[in-house]
Amino acid sequence: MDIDAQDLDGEITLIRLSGRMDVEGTSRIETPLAARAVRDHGATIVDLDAVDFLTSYGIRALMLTAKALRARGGRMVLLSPNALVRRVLETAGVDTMIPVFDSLSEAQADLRAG
Amino acid sequence: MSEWIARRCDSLGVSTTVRENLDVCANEAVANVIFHAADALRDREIALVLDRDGSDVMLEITDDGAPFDPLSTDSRATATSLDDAPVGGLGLPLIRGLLPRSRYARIDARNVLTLVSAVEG
Repeated sequence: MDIDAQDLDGEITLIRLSGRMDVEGTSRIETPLAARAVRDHGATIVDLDAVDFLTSYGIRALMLTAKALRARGGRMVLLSPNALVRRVLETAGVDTMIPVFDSLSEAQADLRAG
Repeated sequence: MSEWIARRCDSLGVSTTVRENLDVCANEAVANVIFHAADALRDREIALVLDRDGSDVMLEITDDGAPFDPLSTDSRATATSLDDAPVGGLGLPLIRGLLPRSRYARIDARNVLTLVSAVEG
C-alpha cells in the first residue's frame, strides 16, 4: 500500500491511500497514517478511491486513526470507497461512526460544519 | 490466496461481487486461524477448496487447530459512536454479515468452515 498526504486549504488534511488494505498492506501504512492524521490535530479526509480491497485489519487502522484524531479534538471522514470497500464498511457498521462521502466537496462541507 | 480465489471464481462463473465477498471472508477466516486461535503458536495446516454446487459456490476452509466455531461467537454489540466502538473483533462479524449461509463443522479433528453464496450476487 501507499500513502500520500496534502493540505487542502490550511484547515483540512487530505490523505490518499492506495492498494489492498489487508493485513500485509495495512501494516505498511498504519503508522504513517496515524502519524500524519494527528500531526495537525485537525480535520482529515481519508480518500479510499484507490483502495481496492478492505479487511477488518484495515478497518482497525481507520478506527484507531479516527479515535486518535477525536481524542485531540479533530475529526475524520472517508471519501470515495469503491463498491466492495463500501460494502465492507457498511457490513461492519463503520459508516455509522466515520462518515462516508462520495465527493470531495461534500466531505469538505461536512468537516467545515464541524 | 486472493489470486487463486479469483482464478477459481473466473473458471466457475462466479460474479465479481460474490468473488470479492469470498475473498474478504477467506482473508478474515485464515487470519483468525493464524493470529487468534488458542494454539496460534503451533504449526497448523490450512487447506482451501473452492467449488461450485449447482447455483451455489462453496469455499471450504479446513484447519487442524483447536476446535473453534467462528460463526458461534457472540455478535459484536453494534456501537453507534466512535467513542464507544472497539477497534477490533470485526473479522468474524464480517463473515456472518457478507456470507450469512456459511456453516461450521468439526470433522476428524479439524475445523471445517464452509463459506456459501449463490454464484450470482
